[in-house]
Amino acid sequence: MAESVFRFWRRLDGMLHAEPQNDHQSSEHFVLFSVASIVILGGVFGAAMGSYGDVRPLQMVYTAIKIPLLLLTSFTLTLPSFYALNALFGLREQFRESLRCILTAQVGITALLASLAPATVFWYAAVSGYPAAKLFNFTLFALGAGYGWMLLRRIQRTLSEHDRTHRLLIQIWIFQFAFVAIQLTWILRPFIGKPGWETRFLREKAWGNAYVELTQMMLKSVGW
Amino acid sequence: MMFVRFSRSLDRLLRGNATSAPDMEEGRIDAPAWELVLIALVLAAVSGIGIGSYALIRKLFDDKGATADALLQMVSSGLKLPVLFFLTLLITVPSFYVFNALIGSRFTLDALARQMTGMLAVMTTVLCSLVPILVFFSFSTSSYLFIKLLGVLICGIAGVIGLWFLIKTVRRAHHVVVNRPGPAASATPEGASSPMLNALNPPPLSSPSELGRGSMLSFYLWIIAFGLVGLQMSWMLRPFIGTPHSEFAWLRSRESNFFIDVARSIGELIGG
Repeated sequence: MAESVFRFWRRLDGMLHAEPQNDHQSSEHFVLFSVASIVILGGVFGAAMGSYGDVRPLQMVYTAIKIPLLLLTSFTLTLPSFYALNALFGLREQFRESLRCILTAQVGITALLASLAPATVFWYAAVSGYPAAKLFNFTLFALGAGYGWMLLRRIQRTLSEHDRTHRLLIQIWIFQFAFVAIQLTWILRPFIGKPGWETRFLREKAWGNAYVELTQMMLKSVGW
Repeated sequence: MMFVRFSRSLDRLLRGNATSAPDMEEGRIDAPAWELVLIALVLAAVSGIGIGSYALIRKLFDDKGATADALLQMVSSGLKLPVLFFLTLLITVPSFYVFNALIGSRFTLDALARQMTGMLAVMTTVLCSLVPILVFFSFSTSSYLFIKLLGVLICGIAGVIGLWFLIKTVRRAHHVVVNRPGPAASATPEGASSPMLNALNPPPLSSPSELGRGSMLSFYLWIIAFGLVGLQMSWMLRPFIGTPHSEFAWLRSRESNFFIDVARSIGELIGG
């Protein structure tokens, strides 16, 4: 058990440091490894995120499920067009490497968030107030997104040197991913769970369109 | 087995292997036209079903409208989308061909048919690859206007990429024709590995003949015509998405036009 945890850690470390992949063995189960990392690390952060207020184990479990769900669903939905564009731009040969890049970025995001799980719990204990908790998590997500973006820039460098088009396609993918993930975050609410409200997986009748609601909110705030 | 074979042809086409310089020299895309037509038909139908599933999804979630109508909408979109693509081609290609023949272009009917079907296959592939995102939004949003605009957006993206692909292959063919028996062979490895660079920076024409210029110009004009006819055709073949609470209709009465409707929808969407 300790051995496999150690191996998992070593591999994760190598991945996040963008070590050159010369071992073919590790590339074999790459997708599986990435998905497992996202589920585990995202789950750790989710559990911390859902621990606000009174101890609600159910909310913790729900959020622990939701974080990996958010990333993996967005990834799955954007994968077909990422593949089609890669093939169309003549980069089909390096698709494995491109896939590796975008998966690594997601593992990186969850690793960063998981590393901030203790800080989240500390924040919940130290600073009271639901809005403060929301703001803190919003900041963490922004941080995670920024980190993922930087990581992606770094690891795709080798690919881009080969062909500049890789950079363009990865940027298009980032845009698509963000477009889907923002909406998915909206419908997967609540992540923290307002104290006093019944703990549910999804909020009832809270489905809507993130973009429409945000635009209307902004327009309303400027008095349009 | 058929599926494997088709996906292999499609993959070859997408990778640009099927449109490499030696093939273009003989004025052909190295994939059987009937296969490409079939691929385009199937992918267009799948995309249509995905786009038309909005009413059904909303029915299941919000209990609005009639299920039979929503199902019919899905079927009708699945049928109408392939019709939209092929009718647009059918309307625009004959005049293009005749015009081209008049100015003495070397595009043969066969080469043209293959390039057009190749373009359709690319267009429908891109559309189909974007449909999961649309379906996801259909699940999670009840705003009809948003879905409509998103649908217009993904169809637009697919259209632009498909036409870009066509320009790329035609330019390559044109290059081969103009430079024959020039450096066609030397262009092969580069062309096969990164068609994108070729499309953005087309190799300079060593002897731009009047004939070549004319046929490229007529081709660009054709693209504009294709776009306009396609837009109008999609407007005439409405509804593709279908409002959840309205009664099913194969076609709606003609009114307004595409641009006015899109502008109005954007206004309503952000204005609340």
